[in-house]
Amino acid sequence: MASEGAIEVEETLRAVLVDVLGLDAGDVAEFDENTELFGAIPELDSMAVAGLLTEIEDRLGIWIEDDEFEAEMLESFGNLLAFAREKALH
Amino acid sequence: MPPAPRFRRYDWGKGQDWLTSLGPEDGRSILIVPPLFEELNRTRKLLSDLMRALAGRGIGAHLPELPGTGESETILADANWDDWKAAVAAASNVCDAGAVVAVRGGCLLDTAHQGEKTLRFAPVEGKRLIRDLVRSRSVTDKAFDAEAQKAVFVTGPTMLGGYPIGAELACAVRDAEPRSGSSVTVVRLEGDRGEADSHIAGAPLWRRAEPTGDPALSGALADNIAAWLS
Repeated sequence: MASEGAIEVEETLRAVLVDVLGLDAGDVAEFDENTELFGAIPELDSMAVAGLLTEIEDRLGIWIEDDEFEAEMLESFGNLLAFAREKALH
Repeated sequence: MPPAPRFRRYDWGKGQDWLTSLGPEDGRSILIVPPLFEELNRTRKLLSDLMRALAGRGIGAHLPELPGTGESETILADANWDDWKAAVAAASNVCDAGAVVAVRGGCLLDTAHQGEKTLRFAPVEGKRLIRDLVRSRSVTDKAFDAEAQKAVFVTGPTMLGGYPIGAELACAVRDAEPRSGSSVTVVRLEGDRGEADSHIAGAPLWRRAEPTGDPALSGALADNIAAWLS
């Protein structure tokens, strides 16, 4: 059972994906930890990465250093969620 | 027929740039201080939709081009922060709107500290703005390494989001924060954690690589501005 904070981070991430990439909210609600992101979603290309990261920072109140960012983070929704929870809750 | 925009030049001391106006020529009006750099490109549709929505509510709106952007004859790499502040103050004098609506990075340049009645929409700190520009380039350009990123603030000009930004301007933006003023009202998007007097629903269009307008957002912002003015 995920904590309240963990659920809030997940909801925030889904909202950011909808808002920044212009994805359908219904589609994003069905993302699970195995859903592939970078390379699988046409809207998430290299031009969109910076805006996505900055918006995640703003909404979670975190600061992502350049050397913390690794491409694997964006490979799947599960990876992105794990990273965001680690940053926001620990 | 939708209302036609009007164009005139305004003089900011070291040059002249364009001021676009829409809506009634007499009556209530606002000066818009636009977002900066890449966010300006991404919000052009939002701003033009907003100006039309305001015109539909009987409110005139004036939008200046900052020195070195748009049709400006000033070279951006030669423009500095003081030029931009002078431009906003000059545009405010020319249109004599009496009320200012600043958006995103435009909030770093607004005239609220001079007591002008000001509404800030989604204000942003300069350091976050410049960092986003640097990151945008570093994720797509491997040669833009830590050393090149430091040079943005030392040598320059550096191409960031399609704009050649000089080191002096980059430093000034990095160090700028929205200046306080007693006459400031802050409006943010729902989901934005910053302090605000009110919130409106909508997505941060300035983050989208392929921006579109959002009639619901521009309409809600126009409603908020109209209520604030009255």
